[in-house]
Amino acid sequence: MIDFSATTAFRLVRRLVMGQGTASMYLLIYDDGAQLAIEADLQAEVEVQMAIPLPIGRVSELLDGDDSLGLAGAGPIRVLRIDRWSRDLVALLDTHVIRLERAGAQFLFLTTPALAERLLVEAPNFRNRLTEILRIIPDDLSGGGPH
Amino acid sequence: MSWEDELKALAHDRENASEAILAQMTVDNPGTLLRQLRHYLAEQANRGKLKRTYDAPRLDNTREKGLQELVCEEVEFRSDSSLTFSVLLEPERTGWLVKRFDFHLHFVGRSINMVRIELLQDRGHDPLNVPRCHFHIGDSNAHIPFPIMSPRLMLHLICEHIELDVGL
Repeated sequence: MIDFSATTAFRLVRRLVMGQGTASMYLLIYDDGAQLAIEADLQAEVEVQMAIPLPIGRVSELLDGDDSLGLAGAGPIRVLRIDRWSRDLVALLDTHVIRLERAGAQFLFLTTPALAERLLVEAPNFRNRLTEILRIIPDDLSGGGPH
Repeated sequence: MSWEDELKALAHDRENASEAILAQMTVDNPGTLLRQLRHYLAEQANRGKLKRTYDAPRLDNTREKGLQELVCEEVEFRSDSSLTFSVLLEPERTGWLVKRFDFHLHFVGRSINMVRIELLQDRGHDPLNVPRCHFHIGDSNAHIPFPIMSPRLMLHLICEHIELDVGL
């Protein structure tokens, strides 16, 4: 697996604030066991930096609903977990990635190294449309940031 | 009552009023305050007032009795001024109370070399000369009374007013 640049929720949300109003898609890879801490960090930072709540859902929600990829009413930032492999879902992501872009939101796809590796191989359109792929690490409030 | 006793009584009244304000000034939790202060500093960096974005302050949660301290070792302004600060928080039933803080701003090339605003951990025995919340300016030994306010407001006051103006 390529060693992607590391970031924290604090640093990432700062970038999202700068790019507010512009569509973007980040694939965020977290180490096993760090999911809850990462999600809590993201929610806390969005609350502090943008004063909005941050809904977190599963990427399978994109398959639900009658509207375009289930995006009706989505906020400016949407976090979607990719927590298990599904060929249908990956095909959907790869096929409709442009529609995601047109939603105008900032999408954060959270996943594990193993799923990310597979996704990047099997969903080339999705991969090519990503703004950036980052390794996200828990924000150690008592220590330093990413190095 | 002697003139000096009257002054002491007035100083005690001022300290009582300050203590009442302090007792009402709770923060949600140290992690949230840390994120708020860090975000404020990041905004200052966005506006070009700080030299860079800092991952500060950090949280020292190794203190006894559940106390936690936010520590910001040094941030540098474009003007070369530097700021260090710490905020000690104590858990209470209703939230976290500010127990002590210390904001220390150093200037470079100004007629005044520093301003330091301190909230002492405990109320002193001599409030006439050493108020619990006070500031020092330059090389003066005077402890000048200072109003107690939220650390967030204190940081704003320092970044937007004191740093921009004092000693120029």
